[in-house]
Amino acid sequence: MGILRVSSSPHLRSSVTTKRIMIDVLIALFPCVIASVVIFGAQSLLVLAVSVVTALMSEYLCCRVMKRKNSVGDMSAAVTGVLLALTLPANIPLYVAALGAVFSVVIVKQLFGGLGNNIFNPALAGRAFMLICFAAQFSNCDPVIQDAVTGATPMAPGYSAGLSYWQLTLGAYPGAMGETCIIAIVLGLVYLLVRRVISYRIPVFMVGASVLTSAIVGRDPIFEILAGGLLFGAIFMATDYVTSPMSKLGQVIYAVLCGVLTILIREFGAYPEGTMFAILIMNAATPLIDKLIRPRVFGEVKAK
Amino acid sequence: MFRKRCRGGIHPLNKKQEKQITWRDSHIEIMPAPEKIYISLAQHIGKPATPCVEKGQFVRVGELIAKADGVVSANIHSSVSGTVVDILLNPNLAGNKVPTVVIDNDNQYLSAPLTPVENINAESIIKASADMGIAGMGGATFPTHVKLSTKDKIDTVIINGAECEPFLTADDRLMREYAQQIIEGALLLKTALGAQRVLIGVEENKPEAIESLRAVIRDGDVQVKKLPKRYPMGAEKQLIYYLTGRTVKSGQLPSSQGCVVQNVATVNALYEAVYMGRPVTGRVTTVAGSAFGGGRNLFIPIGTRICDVLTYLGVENARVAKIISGGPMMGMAVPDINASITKGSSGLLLLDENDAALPSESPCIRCGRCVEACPMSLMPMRIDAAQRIDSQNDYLSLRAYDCIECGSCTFVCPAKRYLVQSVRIAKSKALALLREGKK
Repeated sequence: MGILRVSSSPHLRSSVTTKRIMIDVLIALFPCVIASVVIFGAQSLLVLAVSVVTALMSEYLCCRVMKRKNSVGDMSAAVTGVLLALTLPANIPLYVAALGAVFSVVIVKQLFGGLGNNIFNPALAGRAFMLICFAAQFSNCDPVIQDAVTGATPMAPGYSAGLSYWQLTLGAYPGAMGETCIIAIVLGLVYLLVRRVISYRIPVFMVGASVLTSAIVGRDPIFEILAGGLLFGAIFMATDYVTSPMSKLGQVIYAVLCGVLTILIREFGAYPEGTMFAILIMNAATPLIDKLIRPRVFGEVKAK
Repeated sequence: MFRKRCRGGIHPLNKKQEKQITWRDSHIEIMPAPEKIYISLAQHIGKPATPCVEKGQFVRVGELIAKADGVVSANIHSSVSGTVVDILLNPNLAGNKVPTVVIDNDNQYLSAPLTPVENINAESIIKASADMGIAGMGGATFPTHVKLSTKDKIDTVIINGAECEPFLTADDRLMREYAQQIIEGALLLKTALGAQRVLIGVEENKPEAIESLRAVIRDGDVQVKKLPKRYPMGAEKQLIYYLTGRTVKSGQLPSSQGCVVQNVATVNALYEAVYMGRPVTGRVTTVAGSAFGGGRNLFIPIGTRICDVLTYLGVENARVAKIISGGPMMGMAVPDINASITKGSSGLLLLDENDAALPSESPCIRCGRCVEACPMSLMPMRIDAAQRIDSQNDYLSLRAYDCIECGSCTFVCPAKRYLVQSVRIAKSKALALLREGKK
């Protein structure tokens, strides 16, 4: 017998790894990727490819320059690349997509300390950066699929094309690549729930709060869910582990405020789309929520 | 009836892995004692016992070889008959050198006279548990007579048959094969404490054990309750909460809630002490692990060294990379195979190279799985983060001292972080801070 290995208990670990979780997210995004190709054509694949490859390369170069262990293998940069691409219109200039990916990975994630230390959701912050700096490069992208609706996006002010709920669900109308097809998004949600990657809490409370708020301010709740980035954001962006609270109550508060803010920005704000900013604002509040909300310990005795 | 009375917890094994635990159906085998036995005098919580035998003295099976030293201590008896060879320092399961009595086994198993208790009442039961050296055999080895002497009013005796640690089946076999003794022993506890009822908690993956126990109950005050199969269902506070709905407050003992918890093996030992006059001379241990292949439930005489167990079982030593005393979640990795089996060794896991490999940490992704898994509702990754920068205030505000060290957090962490290990450090520092504060 050689020297026996000695370590502190426990000596058994579950088979779940960070990489596996990221791969599960990528699989969950697959229906949205397919939907975007079907609805918006091959150009969406190009945007996706550019976004993902740029994200991976930026992460690799960043780790080299910052002398950190190469973290490309944990697939989180790939997830950021895919998520970012899916929030863009399919006809976005490729260089803009690439710049967005670089911003997301380098500035929002790596410069804040790498995986686990970023305050803001990298893909969402990258999207916000692109909206502010490259507003002119964003234009309505008409779907290429047959019998699609063309013209302005449903979220634009003064919209009057009158899309039916079913048309909105199918997603064959102008909008961001991954956000239009509700069916694909819901498929992704089901996969994530079954694989226990996310819990129902954040999506349910965020969408629920949006429904309530929109009813109060006089917008059509169902339209709010089916059009725009609310559902996609609630399921794929707001549920990001790093930037959402860790306690159950914290997550509920976070989700509710995200939902409320989304509708408020859509109704009273200058931007047509509120989800992105709502989530980013709540990302900033997450550390505070985590500090203030601590689950009650079993058998806790209040300190005198 | 669905009662949501368990917080957190994990399922360490999936259905397929559970099915592979075929030794659940293997009868208890009695292992013959080796040529020399090394009985540790420090196999219980509290002061080590002081030897009362000398070199060259002949002892019989069950003879007292060391006396309890002080209140929190226990007697120790010989598990073989033969001559005392030496009293020396031998490594214990943790690797520390402890006083040990070495006895040459003459293979005759001559027994010392047994004195069953004649007048069974609370006093005589507690005295028997002290005389016969009974200590908690669930792993903690707390001297039983001290537990039974609690000043608190006890109304519920809880027998812990959960055996929530994966791979261990010793308690399962005991419940199936010694059901009668366990029930009688439970009733002894009820008498000793003046309690009103006995609740025996058994995890639902042990239906035969539940059946066996229920079949021999004649007393209406004794009930067997099914526990959900979850780790750590057998943890004291969690067990009490599930069975009675009572919460043991932070820093308090179960007796503060009118409960006393004892492991089934301890209860069995109590039965034998009172009705047969037999002291603790051995215990059932499950030997399993990837380097062993399969598993067996052995009744091992105390003082048997691990190397002797390995020889007896014909283990291919070269395959063994890590040895765990106890279960994989809270058991202790053994550095020296010269250490001997004690009253608390419920399992001996022999792991091969694959299972012994330690994972490397990656950054915390704040997924919250550890928070969900913690049966005490702590936030392990926050305590871990505080510990890495030694932020002492946080140890107290995050209640690090309430950690039961079950390891659920570390088990689920996808980033393979060493969470409970970090929390242990925070916990001991937090306890030190509390003690200082009290002064």
